[in-house]
Amino acid sequence: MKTFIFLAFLIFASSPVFAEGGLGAATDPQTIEECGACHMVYPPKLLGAKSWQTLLTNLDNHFGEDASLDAATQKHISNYLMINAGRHRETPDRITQLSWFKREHINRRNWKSLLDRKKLSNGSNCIACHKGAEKGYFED
Amino acid sequence: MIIKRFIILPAFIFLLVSIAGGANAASPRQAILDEFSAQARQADQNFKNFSAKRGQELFLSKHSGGKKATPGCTTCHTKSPLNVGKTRAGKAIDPMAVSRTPTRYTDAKKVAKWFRRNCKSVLGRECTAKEKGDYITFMISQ
Repeated sequence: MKTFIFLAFLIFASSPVFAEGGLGAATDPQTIEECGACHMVYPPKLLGAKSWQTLLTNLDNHFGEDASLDAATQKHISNYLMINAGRHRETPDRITQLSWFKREHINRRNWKSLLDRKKLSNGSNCIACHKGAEKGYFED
Repeated sequence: MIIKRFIILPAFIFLLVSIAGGANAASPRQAILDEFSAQARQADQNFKNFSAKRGQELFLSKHSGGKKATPGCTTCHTKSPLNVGKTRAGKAIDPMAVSRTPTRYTDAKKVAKWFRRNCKSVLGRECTAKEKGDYITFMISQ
């Protein structure tokens, strides 16, 4: 029964990825605190539930960084992100590996010069260009 | 009556300011240090006190056991604990020195979490209780 409610909620919560008024910000305090200690807090809808699950079960090697959490915090954040995840066909562990991201960014002719100009090594820090990214706004 | 009010109000304001300023943060920090001290003594009967100097050496040294991208504390925290540091993902890190960030080393869970992570990244192993105590003692002296 619990699983059923969870799944139902998952389907309900993963309504259109690009909902009107932005993607929606992460609102869970623990998620904001822990993820935000090192990098921008990504809106949960930017990845699918499976991607979040993979990331949250491999925090001891988080893109080369030890980002391990105590078991209770890890479970809490994992549940929050999976429930609020987006609906994506692809489930890579990097937002920058999603097809739409490549189409909108990496495959554009001026991508490399843009990274150079902004002194970025990759496309992971959305707020370098999209000031409202943490709040879920990417229109600019 | 009026005189009393003159005493109570400033006293109350002082209390509020000291809470907000983290002046009451000293005892949780001491409790954390005491715990490390007990652990250090358990590991070595001859252990006496933590040393800010040893802590400084740990902080400034380049280590080789950990990840290549993070050979030392200074990779992210800069060479001075008084400076604002930067995570590898580009976010600012409040200075490690207690004088600059008074809330540092007052939350035992947070202290455990960051030593666990960063000692593994920098040294390739967990830090000893002695190293942790030395490190905090150095940061208190800064």
